[in-house]
Amino acid sequence: MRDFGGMISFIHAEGPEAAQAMSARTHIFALAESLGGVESLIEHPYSMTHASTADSEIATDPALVRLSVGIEHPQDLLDDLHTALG
Amino acid sequence: MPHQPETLAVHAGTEPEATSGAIMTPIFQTSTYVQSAPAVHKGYEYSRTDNPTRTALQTALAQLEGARFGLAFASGMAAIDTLTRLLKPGDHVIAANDVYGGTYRLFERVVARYGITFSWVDTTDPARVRAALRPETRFIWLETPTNPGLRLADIAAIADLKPAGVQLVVDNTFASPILQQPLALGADIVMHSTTKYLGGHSDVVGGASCSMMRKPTRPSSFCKTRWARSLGLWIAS
Repeated sequence: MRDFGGMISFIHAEGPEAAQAMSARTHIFALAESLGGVESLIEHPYSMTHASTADSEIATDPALVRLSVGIEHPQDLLDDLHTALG
Repeated sequence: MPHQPETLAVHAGTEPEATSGAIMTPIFQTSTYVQSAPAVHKGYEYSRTDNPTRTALQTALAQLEGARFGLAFASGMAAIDTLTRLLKPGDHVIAANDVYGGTYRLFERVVARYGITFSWVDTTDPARVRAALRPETRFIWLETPTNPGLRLADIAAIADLKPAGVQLVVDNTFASPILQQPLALGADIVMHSTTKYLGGHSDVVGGASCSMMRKPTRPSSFCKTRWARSLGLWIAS
């Protein structure tokens, strides 16, 4: 891969419930499945795109949050995440 | 001289329309094509198999991936499902142990019912891929970066260790051909959910597979099974 892409995943230090709660607290990052659009998206893979892997050998960490970063102004996106993280 | 990806992304597959010079590819809203004599036609017989609007997209996708051909599907999952039709009972697949949930569900809950087995392997380490190889292995299935963990695999290293008869398939949805061209690194087939970066606007659902094979006819089932899943023309446009 020649450069960084637009996807970011991170494990919320405060665990699964905090990960789910922050996913629902952003305003610019829309809570939705899919990725790769001009608009930023946030999702909780364990309960959304990867629910089918729960209890399997490739189960996703329930504290993981996935971001698809769009082309809005970076400062607006950072402010949105800071607010959602509390 | 080959064009750069940015130029291809705008121009590949598009030619001025023959009758009017329209710069954008029209939506050829037709199911069938008039033949001048039985089996004598201009390359188009029936729109489930081929349609000029879909051809334009397939040509663009193939050029962006440096492939000889591309096929456009109704979704990324339709592309993946069709690729699994290259497998037969008894075959074995090595798959990345961090993949899209829909891929996992299709493989383990549908394809596995037909006697095909899967090993879920940490593909960030080529040695683990090598250790998982069996005589009946037919596919090595990579996502790189993986979904959702964003782990990377060394496509070239895995291509180098793969025995003859094993096809290296790379889901390139997360990188897009702008950041990574798996075929140039030794992969045999690259596939996409074109809903994502290739679409770019969250307004269409589509899929694609591209290969260095000269024609999408080997084995013939590959072509036949995709025929019922071809991308709709309004979306292809």
